[in-house]
Amino acid sequence: MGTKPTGRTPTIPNNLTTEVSDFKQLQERIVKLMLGPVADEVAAEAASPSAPATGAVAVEVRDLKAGILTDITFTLRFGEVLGVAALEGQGQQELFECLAGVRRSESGQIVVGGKTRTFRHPADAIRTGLVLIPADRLQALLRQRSVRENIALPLVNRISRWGPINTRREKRRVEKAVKRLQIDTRVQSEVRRLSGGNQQKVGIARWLVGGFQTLLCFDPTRGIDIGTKRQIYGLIKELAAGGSAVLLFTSELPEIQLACNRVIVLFGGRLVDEMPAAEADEKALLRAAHGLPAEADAEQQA
Amino acid sequence: MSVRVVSAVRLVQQRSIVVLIGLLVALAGLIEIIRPGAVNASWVSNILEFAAPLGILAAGQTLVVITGGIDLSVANVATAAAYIMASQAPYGVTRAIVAGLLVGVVVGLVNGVGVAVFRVQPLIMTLAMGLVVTGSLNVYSQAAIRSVPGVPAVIHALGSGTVLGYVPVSLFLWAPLAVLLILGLRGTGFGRLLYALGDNLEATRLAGVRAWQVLLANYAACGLLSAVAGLVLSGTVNAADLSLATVLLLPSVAAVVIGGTSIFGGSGSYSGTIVGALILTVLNSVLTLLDVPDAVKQVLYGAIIVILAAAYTRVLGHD
Amino acid sequence: MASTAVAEAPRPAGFRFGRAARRYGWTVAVYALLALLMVITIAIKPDYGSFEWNTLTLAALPLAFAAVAQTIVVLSGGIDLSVGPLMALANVLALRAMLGHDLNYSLVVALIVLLEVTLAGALNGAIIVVTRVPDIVITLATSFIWAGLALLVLAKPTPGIPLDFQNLAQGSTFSPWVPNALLVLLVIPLVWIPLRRSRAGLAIYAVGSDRNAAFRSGVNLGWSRLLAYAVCGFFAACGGLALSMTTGVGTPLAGTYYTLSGVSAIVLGGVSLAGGRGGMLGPVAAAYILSLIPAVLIYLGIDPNYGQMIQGVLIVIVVMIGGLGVVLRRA
Repeated sequence: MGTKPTGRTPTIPNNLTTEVSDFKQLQERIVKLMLGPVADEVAAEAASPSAPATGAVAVEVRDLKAGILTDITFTLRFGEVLGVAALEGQGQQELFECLAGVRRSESGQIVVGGKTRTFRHPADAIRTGLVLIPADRLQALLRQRSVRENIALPLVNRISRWGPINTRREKRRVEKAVKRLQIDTRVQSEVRRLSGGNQQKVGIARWLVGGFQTLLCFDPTRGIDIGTKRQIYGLIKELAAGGSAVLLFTSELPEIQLACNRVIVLFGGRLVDEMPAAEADEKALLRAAHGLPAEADAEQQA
Repeated sequence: MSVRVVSAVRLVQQRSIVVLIGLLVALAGLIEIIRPGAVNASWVSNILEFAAPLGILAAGQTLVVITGGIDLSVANVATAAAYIMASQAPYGVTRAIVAGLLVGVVVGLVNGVGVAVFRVQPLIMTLAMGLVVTGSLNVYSQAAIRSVPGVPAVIHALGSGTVLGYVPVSLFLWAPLAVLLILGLRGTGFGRLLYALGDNLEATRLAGVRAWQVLLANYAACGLLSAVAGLVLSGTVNAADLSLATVLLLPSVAAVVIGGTSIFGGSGSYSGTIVGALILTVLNSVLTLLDVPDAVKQVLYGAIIVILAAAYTRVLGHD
Repeated sequence: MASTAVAEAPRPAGFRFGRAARRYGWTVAVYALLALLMVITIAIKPDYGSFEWNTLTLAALPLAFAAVAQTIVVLSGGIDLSVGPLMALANVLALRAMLGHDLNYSLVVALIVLLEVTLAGALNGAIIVVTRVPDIVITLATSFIWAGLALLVLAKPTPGIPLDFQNLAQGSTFSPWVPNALLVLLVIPLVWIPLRRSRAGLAIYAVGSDRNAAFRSGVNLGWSRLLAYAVCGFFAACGGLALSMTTGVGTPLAGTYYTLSGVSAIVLGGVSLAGGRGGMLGPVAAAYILSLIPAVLIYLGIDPNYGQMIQGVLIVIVVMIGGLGVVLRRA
């Protein structure tokens, strides 16, 4: 609901408005009213942040350099959601593009499954299990085509798959994904008629059907209604719990704690901080995202 | 707009092929009015016979247009394929046919390389290749042949023969081809990819599709189909001169557009193109029946295509 | 990926030059290629004199106009596949009317033909704007219409353009090295330069480069595009009259070659088919290059039939190189 400093909002000396004592409480109240009965379910999901995972290494990035990005080194493990926190244009786009095979890195290594990989095309990345959910969902979707065709796209992305389609099997897989993501529309509908939230779900459903090991989510909930947002975060956590690795960038810092186990912070193209989710509240993230050293304590006065 | 009109328009949009067939029937009715008795089995046979080369040419065009491209070399390829086949026929008919088809595939591959690998716009690539093909054909005809070659009997039978007196032989080629294409576009991975590429090239890339492979194969297929069309056409008119298929370029695009495939790509079908081809052939028949000079026919043909395309775009609300 | 504002590094010193080079680089390259070809030609044929130069300028004149006509439409983001037939139409209309008359009468006829074919071009544009059918389809269909009309006006090639009118292009009034055919080209900057500076000209570029942005800036899309097609018609008419002047014959079927070659010339000339970028200098030079090739072949003793093929191959190579540039920049 916009970026406002946490703390107290002064009362407005106007007998038409009531005193607002805590902005955060107000926010939650509004969300609850908007979502109705779903609110409790959603609140449960936004429970205590998870601890860093200890699974096998999914992706290891070493000294990656691309565009503004410099000397990026970190590890992403299976079973965890690694958040990326950054202000606009601090290199997060380059990072995701390199990992997804959309962009060539200038130097450094991307190690997947123990082997150093070179990605010349997104297909190379997808082969190693790395798939991308971009922020601009229409970039990844076929607007005139049906939901079903969109979701089933990875099933035909290789020469070996140019042949006849097993329609029954495809339908089953698509509908399973649709159900899991709660996409409330017929699979024959054209994607351009869907809401932004549903469109993003189609984008994710595609990879549920296509298969992946590591999900690269670049601002997946930008411009999406709050109910769908929480659904998507819930799904992300589910996927991680099921063994997948997730790298998640979101421009909304308060939400990082909701979904992630661990957070890395980018500033000026460099990795400037890393912290477990428990410490990654909006304040700490903001400081780090601005390149400021972590402060021990003290709330800022409004 | 009243609810009735809205649902009528919606019906048209979803079942556009019904409207097209209706138009086809209306045109046939028009002929019957102008000259009673003209619309008989023999007339239908004639229409199918002349529609087949156009229909096959437009098939290749359909494949390319679905991917958001266009192929302006189809007519030149058809002409070249027929000419080379005819000139090679004295040395062996099968060999000659293969040579003709090969011309189509090779040109198609070059088109595909230009569009898919070098990212040249399809319009300019195919336009330029058309020029190369025509020029090369001129050189070939000057160098190799003295007179216009004749068409071998087999091809002549293919193009203008009939079975049981009414069913054109070429239908036995066209119909299975049509079924293959319609089913292929709908139910194969390759078909899906064509629509996907036409809709959003970047999206296919993000989904792991190497677009150049699909486009290369597609343009080659278009070239092959153009060659087939050329061979059939030479059989129909029993000649293989240097301007055999030139007049079919516009109709090949028009059939695709009238048939409901968007020129921007991402949607459409071959079944629509088939009806479009039939409509254009019947239209030609109407104009012939009106006994107007060729030039007037040409003007009217062009004008009616404009009207049909406009009406179609207006009714179906293509953006 | 979503286009977020990326923090840019400060621009290097050579940036300005780089941008200018990119904008004019292609045009310079084309003129360099033309110069190179001329040098080769003179090397092959040492007695290359003003007569040969005159022949070249005559041959290139109609194509230059065809290229210019196409350029304007392409700048506005469209294409006109009926340029050739429009030229043929102008050509035969001129012949029909000028037959047996003197220079003054012919000049009046020329003006009327210019008007008529400009209107035909405007009609192209009007149909495209009103019906919202893509320009490829419409102009492909209207090319049929104009070609058919040309045939109705003149059923077969007929000589008869008054000699005085022909000499407007064929002679050399001032100097043998500045033949009239070169001077006639001055019509192009005469019309184009004021147009480009005007609001209408800016609108044409705007519509070609980003239609939405142009719309939001208050540009009337319909009229701008119509104007582009009308001006295209005007230059096509010039091309048709050029045909009359240079050949002295009315040819109803001359059209198709000029459509193809016109588009080829503008691509060679560095005009982007996507619209919004390019100028006139490149296409005119490209027209000269394309017209030079058959001449070079003749001097080399090669069968002129190869001319068409070589032109096509040249275009293919050029556009592939251009496309390669785009591909390499992406990677």
